[in-house]
Amino acid sequence: MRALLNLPIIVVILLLVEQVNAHEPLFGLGPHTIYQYGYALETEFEQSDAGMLNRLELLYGITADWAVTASLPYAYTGNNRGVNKIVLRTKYRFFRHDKIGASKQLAVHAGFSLPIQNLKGSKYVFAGLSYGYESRRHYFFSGIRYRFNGWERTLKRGNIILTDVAYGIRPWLLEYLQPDPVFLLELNTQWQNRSINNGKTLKSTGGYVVSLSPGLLFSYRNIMLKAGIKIPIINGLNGGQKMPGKEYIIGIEFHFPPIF
Amino acid sequence: MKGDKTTYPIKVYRWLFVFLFGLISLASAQEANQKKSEQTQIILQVEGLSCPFCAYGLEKKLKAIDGVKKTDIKLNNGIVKLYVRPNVVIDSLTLKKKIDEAGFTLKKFNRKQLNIKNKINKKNH
Repeated sequence: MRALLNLPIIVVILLLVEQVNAHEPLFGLGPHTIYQYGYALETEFEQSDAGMLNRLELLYGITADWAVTASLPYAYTGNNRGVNKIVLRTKYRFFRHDKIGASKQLAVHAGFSLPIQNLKGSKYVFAGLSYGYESRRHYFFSGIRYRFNGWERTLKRGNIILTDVAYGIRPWLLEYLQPDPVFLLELNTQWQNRSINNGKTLKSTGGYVVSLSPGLLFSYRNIMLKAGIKIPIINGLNGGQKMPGKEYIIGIEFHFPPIF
Repeated sequence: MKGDKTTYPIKVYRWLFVFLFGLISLASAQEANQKKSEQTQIILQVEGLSCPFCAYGLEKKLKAIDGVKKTDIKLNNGIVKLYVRPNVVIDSLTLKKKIDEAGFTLKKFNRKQLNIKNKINKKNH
Protein backbone atom coordinates (compact mmCIF):
# COMPACT_ATOMS: atom_id res chain seq x y z
CA MET A 1 0.00 0.00 0.00
CA ARG A 2 2.81 2.36 0.93
CA ALA A 3 4.55 1.42 -2.31
CA LEU A 4 1.40 2.37 -4.17
CA LEU A 5 1.34 5.71 -2.36
CA ASN A 6 4.93 6.25 -3.53
CA LEU A 7 4.05 5.47 -7.14
CA PRO A 8 2.52 8.82 -8.11
CA ILE A 9 5.55 10.60 -6.69
CA ILE A 10 7.86 8.38 -8.74
CA VAL A 11 5.80 8.91 -11.87
CA VAL A 12 5.72 12.68 -11.39
CA ILE A 13 9.46 12.79 -10.78
CA LEU A 14 10.10 10.54 -13.77
CA LEU A 15 8.09 12.85 -15.95
CA LEU A 16 10.09 15.81 -14.73
CA VAL A 17 13.31 13.93 -14.78
CA GLU A 18 15.46 13.02 -17.64
CA GLN A 19 19.09 14.28 -17.84
CA VAL A 20 23.63 13.99 -17.99
CA ASN A 21 27.22 13.64 -16.99
CA ALA A 22 29.72 13.71 -19.82
CA HIS A 23 33.41 13.78 -18.81
CA GLU A 24 33.31 12.81 -15.17
CA PRO A 25 34.90 10.18 -12.92
CA LEU A 26 33.40 6.72 -13.37
CA PHE A 27 33.33 5.87 -9.66
CA GLY A 28 33.39 9.38 -8.17
CA LEU A 29 31.54 12.66 -8.49
CA GLY A 30 31.88 15.46 -11.00
CA PRO A 31 30.18 18.85 -11.42
CA HIS A 32 29.18 18.48 -15.07
CA THR A 33 25.60 19.24 -16.03
CA ILE A 34 23.78 19.12 -19.36
CA TYR A 35 22.60 22.01 -21.54
CA GLN A 36 19.20 23.48 -20.69
CA TYR A 37 16.27 21.33 -21.87
CA GLY A 38 18.72 18.70 -23.05
CA TYR A 39 18.29 15.08 -22.13
CA ALA A 40 20.36 11.94 -22.25
CA LEU A 41 20.03 8.23 -21.88
CA GLU A 42 22.72 6.17 -20.25
CA THR A 43 23.15 2.51 -19.52
CA GLU A 44 25.92 0.97 -17.43
CA PHE A 45 26.86 -2.57 -16.50
CA GLU A 46 28.67 -3.06 -13.20
CA GLN A 47 30.29 -6.26 -11.99
CA SER A 48 31.38 -6.56 -8.35
CA ASP A 49 31.33 -9.01 -5.42
CA ALA A 50 27.61 -8.32 -5.16
CA GLY A 51 27.06 -9.61 -8.71
CA MET A 52 26.14 -7.95 -11.96
CA LEU A 53 24.06 -4.79 -12.06
CA ASN A 54 22.69 -2.79 -14.96
CA ARG A 55 21.69 0.84 -14.53
CA LEU A 56 19.41 2.62 -16.93
CA GLU A 57 19.51 6.37 -16.42
CA LEU A 58 17.49 9.22 -17.79
CA LEU A 59 19.00 12.64 -17.41
CA TYR A 60 17.54 16.10 -17.94
CA GLY A 61 18.83 19.65 -17.80
CA ILE A 62 16.32 21.95 -16.09
CA THR A 63 18.81 24.77 -16.58
CA ALA A 64 22.41 24.69 -17.77
CA ASP A 65 23.42 24.44 -14.09
CA TRP A 66 20.73 22.19 -12.68
CA ALA A 67 20.37 18.57 -13.74
CA VAL A 68 18.22 15.71 -12.50
CA THR A 69 18.65 11.98 -13.00
CA ALA A 70 16.41 8.96 -12.55
CA SER A 71 18.25 5.68 -12.32
CA LEU A 72 16.76 2.18 -12.46
CA PRO A 73 19.25 -0.45 -11.26
CA TYR A 74 18.55 -3.99 -12.42
CA ALA A 75 20.30 -6.72 -10.42
CA TYR A 76 21.08 -9.92 -12.32
CA THR A 77 22.15 -11.93 -9.27
CA GLY A 78 21.56 -12.13 -5.52
CA ASN A 79 18.41 -12.04 -3.41
CA ASN A 80 17.22 -8.72 -4.84
CA ARG A 81 17.21 -9.86 -8.46
CA GLY A 82 15.35 -7.52 -10.80
CA VAL A 83 14.42 -3.88 -10.37
CA ASN A 84 13.74 -3.25 -6.71
CA LYS A 85 14.43 0.43 -6.33
CA ILE A 86 14.63 3.71 -8.15
CA VAL A 87 17.38 6.20 -7.45
CA LEU A 88 16.71 9.90 -7.97
CA ARG A 89 19.57 12.34 -8.03
CA THR A 90 19.99 16.04 -8.58
CA LYS A 91 22.99 18.24 -9.10
CA TYR A 92 23.29 22.00 -8.95
CA ARG A 93 26.38 23.72 -10.28
CA PHE A 94 26.65 26.86 -8.20
CA PHE A 95 30.02 28.07 -9.47
CA ARG A 96 31.47 28.17 -12.95
CA HIS A 97 34.47 30.13 -14.14
CA ASP A 98 35.13 29.83 -17.86
CA LYS A 99 38.28 30.69 -19.77
CA ILE A 100 39.26 30.01 -23.36
CA GLY A 101 39.37 26.22 -23.58
CA ALA A 102 38.98 25.66 -19.83
CA SER A 103 36.48 25.75 -16.99
CA LYS A 104 36.40 25.48 -13.19
CA GLN A 105 33.18 24.27 -11.60
CA LEU A 106 31.66 23.46 -8.22
CA ALA A 107 28.41 21.58 -7.67
CA VAL A 108 26.25 20.24 -4.84
CA HIS A 109 24.63 16.83 -5.15
CA ALA A 110 21.73 15.13 -3.45
CA GLY A 111 19.75 11.97 -4.01
CA PHE A 112 17.80 9.13 -2.52
CA SER A 113 16.64 5.62 -3.29
CA LEU A 114 13.05 4.44 -3.17
CA PRO A 115 12.26 0.73 -2.88
CA ILE A 116 9.55 -0.15 -5.39
CA GLN A 117 8.83 -3.81 -4.58
CA ASN A 118 6.99 -4.19 -1.28
CA LEU A 119 9.46 -1.74 0.27
CA LYS A 120 12.22 -4.35 0.10
CA GLY A 121 15.74 -3.25 -0.63
CA SER A 122 17.91 -0.62 0.92
CA LYS A 123 16.79 2.96 1.37
CA TYR A 124 19.34 5.71 1.47
CA VAL A 125 19.80 9.44 1.15
CA PHE A 126 23.02 11.10 0.09
CA ALA A 127 24.47 14.59 -0.17
CA GLY A 128 27.73 15.62 -1.79
CA LEU A 129 30.00 18.31 -3.12
CA SER A 130 32.21 18.15 -6.19
CA TYR A 131 34.87 20.27 -7.86
CA GLY A 132 36.08 19.99 -11.43
CA TYR A 133 38.72 21.62 -13.55
CA GLU A 134 38.59 20.86 -17.22
CA SER A 135 40.88 22.06 -19.99
CA ARG A 136 41.61 20.90 -23.50
CA ARG A 137 44.40 18.65 -22.20
CA HIS A 138 43.81 17.97 -18.49
CA TYR A 139 40.98 17.10 -16.12
CA PHE A 140 40.97 17.24 -12.36
CA PHE A 141 38.04 16.22 -10.18
CA SER A 142 37.43 15.85 -6.49
CA GLY A 143 34.30 15.00 -4.57
CA ILE A 144 32.88 14.02 -1.23
CA ARG A 145 29.59 12.26 -0.43
CA TYR A 146 27.83 11.29 2.76
CA ARG A 147 25.32 8.49 2.55
CA PHE A 148 22.73 7.88 5.27
CA ASN A 149 21.56 4.28 5.08
CA GLY A 150 18.02 3.51 6.16
CA TRP A 151 16.67 0.64 8.20
CA GLU A 152 15.87 -2.70 6.56
CA ARG A 153 13.55 -4.24 9.17
CA THR A 154 15.94 -4.75 12.12
CA LEU A 155 19.15 -4.04 10.20
CA LYS A 156 20.75 -0.62 9.89
CA ARG A 157 23.81 -0.59 7.66
CA GLY A 158 26.50 1.87 8.64
CA ASN A 159 26.53 5.30 7.05
CA ILE A 160 29.21 5.86 4.42
CA ILE A 161 31.59 8.69 3.53
CA LEU A 162 33.00 8.52 0.01
CA THR A 163 35.84 10.73 -1.21
CA ASP A 164 37.32 10.81 -4.67
CA VAL A 165 40.08 12.53 -6.56
CA ALA A 166 40.60 11.97 -10.27
CA TYR A 167 42.97 13.06 -12.97
CA GLY A 168 42.24 12.79 -16.69
CA ILE A 169 44.24 13.45 -19.80
CA ARG A 170 43.27 13.96 -23.42
CA PRO A 171 46.33 12.74 -25.36
CA TRP A 172 45.20 14.11 -28.71
CA LEU A 173 43.64 17.57 -28.97
CA LEU A 174 41.20 16.70 -31.69
CA GLU A 175 38.50 19.03 -32.93
CA TYR A 176 34.72 18.77 -32.82
CA LEU A 177 33.32 15.92 -34.97
CA GLN A 178 36.43 13.82 -34.34
CA PRO A 179 36.67 10.85 -31.93
CA ASP A 180 37.86 11.96 -28.50
CA PRO A 181 39.52 9.57 -26.03
CA VAL A 182 40.20 10.65 -22.44
CA PHE A 183 42.14 8.51 -19.94
CA LEU A 184 41.24 8.73 -16.25
CA LEU A 185 42.84 7.66 -13.01
CA GLU A 186 40.80 7.86 -9.81
CA LEU A 187 41.62 7.41 -6.16
CA ASN A 188 38.45 6.43 -4.32
CA THR A 189 38.08 6.07 -0.57
CA GLN A 190 35.15 4.63 1.34
CA TRP A 191 34.66 4.84 5.11
CA GLN A 192 31.73 2.99 6.60
CA ASN A 193 30.41 2.88 10.16
CA ARG A 194 29.58 -0.43 11.79
CA SER A 195 26.12 -1.84 11.08
CA ILE A 196 23.49 -2.42 13.76
CA ASN A 197 21.17 -5.43 13.91
CA ASN A 198 18.47 -5.88 16.56
CA GLY A 199 20.06 -3.09 18.57
CA LYS A 200 23.49 -4.76 18.57
CA THR A 201 26.56 -3.35 16.82
CA LEU A 202 28.06 -5.87 14.41
CA LYS A 203 31.81 -6.05 14.98
CA SER A 204 32.77 -7.46 11.60
CA THR A 205 31.27 -4.59 9.63
CA GLY A 206 32.48 -1.16 8.57
CA GLY A 207 35.98 0.18 8.08
CA TYR A 208 37.67 1.75 5.12
CA VAL A 209 38.83 0.77 1.64
CA VAL A 210 41.07 2.76 -0.69
CA SER A 211 40.87 1.94 -4.40
CA LEU A 212 42.70 2.96 -7.54
CA SER A 213 40.54 3.13 -10.64
CA PRO A 214 41.84 3.53 -14.18
CA GLY A 215 39.22 4.33 -16.80
CA LEU A 216 38.58 5.40 -20.36
CA LEU A 217 36.01 7.80 -21.81
CA PHE A 218 35.66 7.66 -25.56
CA SER A 219 33.27 10.08 -27.21
CA TYR A 220 32.21 10.89 -30.72
CA ARG A 221 29.86 13.86 -31.06
CA ASN A 222 26.89 12.97 -28.80
CA ILE A 223 27.83 9.37 -27.96
CA MET A 224 30.20 8.36 -25.19
CA LEU A 225 31.56 4.94 -24.27
CA LYS A 226 32.92 4.46 -20.74
CA ALA A 227 34.91 1.68 -19.13
CA GLY A 228 36.81 1.38 -15.88
CA ILE A 229 38.09 -0.93 -13.13
CA LYS A 230 38.07 -0.14 -9.42
CA ILE A 231 40.94 -1.97 -7.75
CA PRO A 232 41.04 -2.00 -3.92
CA ILE A 233 44.62 -1.41 -2.78
CA ILE A 234 44.45 -0.67 0.96
CA ASN A 235 41.85 -1.58 3.54
CA GLY A 236 41.22 -1.12 7.22
CA LEU A 237 38.10 -3.22 7.49
CA ASN A 238 36.83 -4.15 10.94
CA GLY A 239 36.76 -7.72 12.21
CA GLY A 240 37.62 -10.56 9.89
CA GLN A 241 36.39 -8.96 6.70
CA LYS A 242 38.19 -9.78 3.48
CA MET A 243 39.48 -7.19 1.04
CA PRO A 244 36.67 -6.57 -1.46
CA GLY A 245 37.15 -7.68 -5.07
CA LYS A 246 37.56 -5.54 -8.15
CA GLU A 247 34.63 -3.65 -9.64
CA TYR A 248 34.19 -3.35 -13.37
CA ILE A 249 32.06 -0.79 -15.15
CA ILE A 250 31.17 -0.35 -18.80
CA GLY A 251 28.60 2.05 -20.17
CA ILE A 252 27.27 4.09 -23.03
CA GLU A 253 25.70 7.56 -22.95
CA PHE A 254 23.68 9.36 -25.62
CA HIS A 255 22.94 13.08 -25.56
CA PHE A 256 19.85 14.19 -27.41
CA PRO A 257 19.04 17.62 -28.86
CA PRO A 258 17.28 20.06 -26.51
CA ILE A 259 13.52 19.77 -26.57
CA PHE A 260 13.14 23.56 -26.84
CA MET B 1 19.38 19.68 -101.61
CA LYS B 2 16.15 18.82 -99.93
CA GLY B 3 18.10 16.82 -97.34
CA ASP B 4 20.31 19.80 -96.62
CA LYS B 5 17.26 22.03 -96.08
CA THR B 6 15.77 19.57 -93.56
CA THR B 7 19.05 19.06 -91.55
CA TYR B 8 19.88 22.78 -91.36
CA PRO B 9 17.03 23.77 -88.96
CA ILE B 10 17.80 20.77 -86.70
CA LYS B 11 21.37 22.01 -86.26
CA VAL B 12 20.02 25.44 -85.43
CA TYR B 13 17.71 23.97 -82.81
CA ARG B 14 20.60 21.95 -81.39
CA TRP B 15 22.78 25.04 -81.06
CA LEU B 16 19.86 27.00 -79.71
CA PHE B 17 19.26 24.29 -77.08
CA VAL B 18 22.94 24.32 -76.10
CA PHE B 19 22.88 28.11 -75.91
CA LEU B 20 19.74 28.18 -73.76
CA PHE B 21 21.04 25.42 -71.46
CA GLY B 22 24.26 27.36 -71.04
CA LEU B 23 22.33 30.54 -70.30
CA ILE B 24 20.14 28.85 -67.66
CA SER B 25 23.19 27.23 -66.02
CA LEU B 26 24.97 30.57 -65.94
CA ALA B 27 21.93 32.29 -64.46
CA SER B 28 21.50 29.66 -61.72
CA ALA B 29 25.23 29.73 -60.93
CA GLN B 30 25.06 33.51 -60.67
CA GLU B 31 22.04 33.23 -58.40
CA ALA B 32 23.82 30.72 -56.16
CA ASN B 33 26.87 32.94 -56.08
CA GLN B 34 24.68 35.93 -55.23
CA LYS B 35 23.14 33.99 -52.32
CA LYS B 36 26.59 33.00 -51.08
CA SER B 37 27.82 36.54 -51.34
CA GLU B 38 24.89 37.72 -49.22
CA GLN B 39 25.54 35.18 -46.45
CA THR B 40 26.50 36.65 -43.10
CA GLN B 41 29.15 35.12 -40.92
CA ILE B 42 29.16 35.66 -37.16
CA ILE B 43 32.34 34.82 -35.34
CA LEU B 44 31.99 34.06 -31.64
CA GLN B 45 34.64 33.70 -28.99
CA VAL B 46 33.25 31.19 -26.48
CA GLU B 47 34.83 30.48 -23.10
CA GLY B 48 34.67 27.13 -21.31
CA LEU B 49 34.61 25.11 -24.50
CA SER B 50 37.04 22.27 -23.96
CA CYS B 51 35.53 18.99 -25.07
CA PRO B 52 33.81 17.82 -28.27
CA PHE B 53 31.11 15.96 -26.32
CA CYS B 54 29.98 19.18 -24.61
CA ALA B 55 30.19 21.14 -27.87
CA TYR B 56 27.25 19.10 -29.17
CA GLY B 57 24.86 21.04 -26.90
CA LEU B 58 26.30 24.35 -28.10
CA GLU B 59 25.90 23.33 -31.73
CA LYS B 60 22.26 22.36 -31.20
CA LYS B 61 21.46 25.54 -29.24
CA LEU B 62 23.00 27.78 -31.91
CA LYS B 63 21.42 25.90 -34.80
CA ALA B 64 18.03 26.40 -33.15
CA ILE B 65 18.35 30.17 -33.68
CA ASP B 66 16.19 31.21 -36.60
CA GLY B 67 18.35 32.02 -39.61
CA VAL B 68 21.44 30.02 -38.63
CA LYS B 69 22.30 27.69 -41.50
CA LYS B 70 25.55 26.18 -40.34
CA THR B 71 27.97 26.22 -37.40
CA ASP B 72 31.68 25.61 -37.37
CA ILE B 73 33.19 24.94 -33.92
CA LYS B 74 36.91 25.15 -33.33
CA LEU B 75 37.74 23.85 -29.87
CA ASN B 76 41.44 24.64 -29.83
CA ASN B 77 40.89 28.40 -30.01
CA GLY B 78 37.29 28.64 -28.75
CA ILE B 79 36.04 30.10 -32.02
CA VAL B 80 32.53 29.35 -33.24
CA LYS B 81 31.48 30.52 -36.70
CA LEU B 82 27.83 30.90 -37.57
CA TYR B 83 26.67 31.11 -41.18
CA VAL B 84 23.44 33.05 -41.24
CA ARG B 85 20.81 33.45 -43.98
CA PRO B 86 20.72 36.78 -45.79
CA ASN B 87 18.63 39.56 -44.23
CA VAL B 88 18.48 37.80 -40.83
CA VAL B 89 19.67 39.82 -37.87
CA ILE B 90 20.73 37.97 -34.74
CA ASP B 91 21.39 40.22 -31.77
CA SER B 92 24.06 39.67 -29.15
CA LEU B 93 21.48 39.05 -26.39
CA THR B 94 20.03 36.07 -28.26
CA LEU B 95 23.50 34.66 -28.80
CA LYS B 96 24.45 35.20 -25.16
CA LYS B 97 21.23 33.52 -23.98
CA LYS B 98 21.72 30.46 -26.18
CA ILE B 99 25.37 30.11 -25.18
CA ASP B 100 24.41 30.44 -21.49
CA GLU B 101 21.78 27.73 -21.96
CA ALA B 102 24.48 25.48 -23.40
CA GLY B 103 26.59 26.08 -20.27
CA PHE B 104 29.29 28.31 -21.75
CA THR B 105 30.25 31.99 -21.73
CA LEU B 106 30.20 34.35 -24.70
CA LYS B 107 33.27 36.54 -24.56
CA LYS B 108 32.90 38.52 -27.79
CA PHE B 109 31.38 38.36 -31.24
CA ASN B 110 32.03 39.83 -34.62
CA ARG B 111 29.68 40.01 -37.57
CA LYS B 112 30.81 40.27 -41.15
CA GLN B 113 29.21 40.11 -44.57
CA LEU B 114 30.75 37.43 -46.70
CA ASN B 115 31.36 38.54 -50.24
CA ILE B 116 32.82 35.64 -52.10
CA LYS B 117 32.18 37.28 -55.50
CA ASN B 118 34.40 40.22 -54.64
CA LYS B 119 37.13 37.95 -53.40
CA ILE B 120 37.07 36.05 -56.69
CA ASN B 121 37.19 39.28 -58.67
CA LYS B 122 40.12 40.54 -56.63
CA LYS B 123 41.97 37.28 -57.22
CA ASN B 124 41.37 37.58 -60.96
CA HIS B 125 42.84 41.08 -61.05
